[in-house]
Amino acid sequence: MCSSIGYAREVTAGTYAVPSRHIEHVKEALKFEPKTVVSKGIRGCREMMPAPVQVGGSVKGSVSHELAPQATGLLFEHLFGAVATTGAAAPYTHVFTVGEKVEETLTVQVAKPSTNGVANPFTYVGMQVVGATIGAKAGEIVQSDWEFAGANELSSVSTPAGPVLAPLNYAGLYVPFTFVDGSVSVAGSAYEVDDLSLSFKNALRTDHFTMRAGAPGTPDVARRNGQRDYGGSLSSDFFDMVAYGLFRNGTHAALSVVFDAGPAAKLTIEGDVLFAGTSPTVDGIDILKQSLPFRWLSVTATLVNGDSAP
Amino acid sequence: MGSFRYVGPLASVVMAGEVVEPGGVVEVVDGVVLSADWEPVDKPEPVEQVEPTPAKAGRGKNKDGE
Repeated sequence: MCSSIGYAREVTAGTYAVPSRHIEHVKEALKFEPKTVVSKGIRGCREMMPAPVQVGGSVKGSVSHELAPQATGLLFEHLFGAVATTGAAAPYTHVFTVGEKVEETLTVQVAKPSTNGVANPFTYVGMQVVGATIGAKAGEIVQSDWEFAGANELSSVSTPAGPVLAPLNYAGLYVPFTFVDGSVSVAGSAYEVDDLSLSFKNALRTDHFTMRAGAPGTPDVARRNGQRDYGGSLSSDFFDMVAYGLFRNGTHAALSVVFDAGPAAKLTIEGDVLFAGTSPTVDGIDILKQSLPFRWLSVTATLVNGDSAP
Repeated sequence: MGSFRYVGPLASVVMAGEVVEPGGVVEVVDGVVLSADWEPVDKPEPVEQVEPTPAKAGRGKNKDGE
């Protein structure tokens, strides 16, 4: 099976840029969603519904990557919005903070193979990261899901026709983080977890069609509409009353999630959180579990890798 | 065939089956559209032989000051 996903920054929002960064993927579900209108006109004894008229469409869907330090800075930049890179030589440090991304979009090109032996390029333009989820579980590779919204899907059958498949530029080394790289600290103390999930939802207004010259059949660039909803959950044994107390007393606490695979392969996501846990319950004779959902009140992500730009 | 130099941000990439680091050059077949992370490497033009300008006589002195 031949499939690939490549990314590129667009110079002009919605205009194809040749993908120059390919990232190994686990699955993708990027889809064109047609926008149709149906006439309500009454025409004599017409019994059948008038044909819907396709007036354009947009793109929605997600991409799943095993999370590695290499090459993923671009995705974090478009998730958070702002980035500062330091380092004169490898390793470089990219610090991602919450910020506005105005009119900045990505091209995402997916090779979708058909049984006639063709790796069909589906090129998605005007793509914006509307959210992401990072999941880590003891015994497994760290997973990341990236939710996108975009302006259009170009392919060999679209009008205009899409570009050919760009040459594949995979990072020479792509080594996903695993659970052994992971550690968590709560309020400055190490906290052992069985699994964790981090969830980032950018409040973007997608599917905003307007009357305008140019490309009225594609949605306008999504802009922030509301407030970001960043949160997550920790799941562990019920060790003692300390973590539960953070929830019970409504204490703001520092949370740090680190995946450290070496001096040039480290991701730290940290900030202040408010826990929204639940009381531990005795469900049988097994060890009690503690679930600690939380909401980020502030968050910063720091990625250290060998890439000179995110 | 054309030669392209990788000028992108990644520590290394795989292109045409080779691992290339920033500044590295690969050969790709003609007609391939590459991103801005790749800049074409011009073939070295033949260097024009320039005759060295002969030193003007009578201005210098030898080691004995003559």
